[in-house]
Amino acid sequence: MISAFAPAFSAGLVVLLALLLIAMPAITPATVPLGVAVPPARTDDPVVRRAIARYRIGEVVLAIVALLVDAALLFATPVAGILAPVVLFLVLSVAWLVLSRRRIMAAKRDQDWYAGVPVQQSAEVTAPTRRHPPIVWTIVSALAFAVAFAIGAAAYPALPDPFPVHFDATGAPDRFEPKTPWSVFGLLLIGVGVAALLFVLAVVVSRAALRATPGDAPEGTLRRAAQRRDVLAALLAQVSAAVAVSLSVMSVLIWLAPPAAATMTGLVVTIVLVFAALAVAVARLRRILDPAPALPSAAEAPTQPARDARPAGASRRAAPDDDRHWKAGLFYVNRNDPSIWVPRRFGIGWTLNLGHPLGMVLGVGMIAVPIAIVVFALLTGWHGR
Amino acid sequence: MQIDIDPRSDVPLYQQLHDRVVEAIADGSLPAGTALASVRQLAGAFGINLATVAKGYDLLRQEGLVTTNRRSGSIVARDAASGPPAASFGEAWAPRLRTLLAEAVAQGMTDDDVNAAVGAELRRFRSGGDR
Repeated sequence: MISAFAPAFSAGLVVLLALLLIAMPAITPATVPLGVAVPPARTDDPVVRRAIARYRIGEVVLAIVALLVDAALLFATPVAGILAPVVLFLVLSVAWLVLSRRRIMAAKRDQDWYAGVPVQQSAEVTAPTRRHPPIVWTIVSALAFAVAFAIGAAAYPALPDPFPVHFDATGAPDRFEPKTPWSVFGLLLIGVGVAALLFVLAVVVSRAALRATPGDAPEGTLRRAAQRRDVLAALLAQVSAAVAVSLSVMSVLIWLAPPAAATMTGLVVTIVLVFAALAVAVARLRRILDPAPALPSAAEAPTQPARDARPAGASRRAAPDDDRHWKAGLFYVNRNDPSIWVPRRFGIGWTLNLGHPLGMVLGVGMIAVPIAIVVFALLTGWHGR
Repeated sequence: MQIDIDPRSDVPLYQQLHDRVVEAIADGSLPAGTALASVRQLAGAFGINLATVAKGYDLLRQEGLVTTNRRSGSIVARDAASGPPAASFGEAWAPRLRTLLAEAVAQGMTDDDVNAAVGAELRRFRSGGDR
């Protein structure tokens, strides 16, 4: 059974990652194309546009290569190759990103893009207000779980004993346990745990410190940063609600309907809800990043001769170039910065400041712990189930 | 409220931080009682050294514009509506004003020009600044 499922899973993962990486330049601020800080007047420079186009074409090619490798593995030993195409794709993607961004960095250095651009660092001097993710998603989750628990309690006496707790890929039950509240409500309780974890993450994100975007114009840069943060917090809250709804639906179907319907419906509901939340988040990020009327882009310059008199937007203020703190555009190292977490340069979310002692400890831990678990699993001969 | 500092300026960052906060208090953007970000929060938001921000806050505290206590953090202690300044303020301010005016006179500004410039700046604060 696993021989067909595993390559399909890794193919899906490669496609999802490729879509995300290709969309990334569109949903990250224009003043950090491919993670390189550029002043607002250069966001539409031909060098930048070409570098992004090349990066995207490369990602498409790499995704196709990874899918071909995946197809080849279909006829090889499947278990060893489940994640090989995904790992291959990720490693090559990062290498390609590093190569693509070099062109922008070279042009920035050779043409001295920051010459004559007044730089300013912006921050909120008033104490941050306590924010929280939209409350509606917490209500949706609580309602879904409450309804599911109520239906489960009502159906409990009529449920079969032993109770099916695991289903194969066709939806037929392949493992049974004696009927107890744990075996009947286990799936729902896992759902409560995962949804709660995602909700806590949403609350933490909604309170994250605001930082100005490098290269961005100071006017409104913190407002845009706050909007981006709120979109991420809302997305996490929505995914939390999606988990709550889909696991509630799945539990109810296992109790009341044939299991084949349960697993498939649960899977479809999860995928549809999560993708809907992602699509909304991407659309909202695009709207925030759309140049406002107050932020004319260099692309408009040719149609407005008045601005051609001097280098387009050269006198407009920008946040300082901080590329020296970003290694490969992915790793942040700044000893002077007291922040442990900083907004990611090329990507969504936050990354560690490896120049901070605690940031370094966390960074090493995040690499060491998974490796230790894998090594321990290999040494003790543990193979999952 | 957003403040901007210039890392390339000859003016030290702590001084810029102090100056922007004083200006924001003067134009009403930071009324008395407003809670300010902690030293750690502000340094993290700027991505600059803790000591730089602490020095700027120390200066504001010495001038009586900001107070800090363990429970409520730093708050704006006074503003334009808080009544006349302490007697010690004039002693500290007069020499700096003298230097500033001396620069204008030495550069050949007329009294009318100086008065007009002073009036324009004061009107900006009284009308809520340009923020």
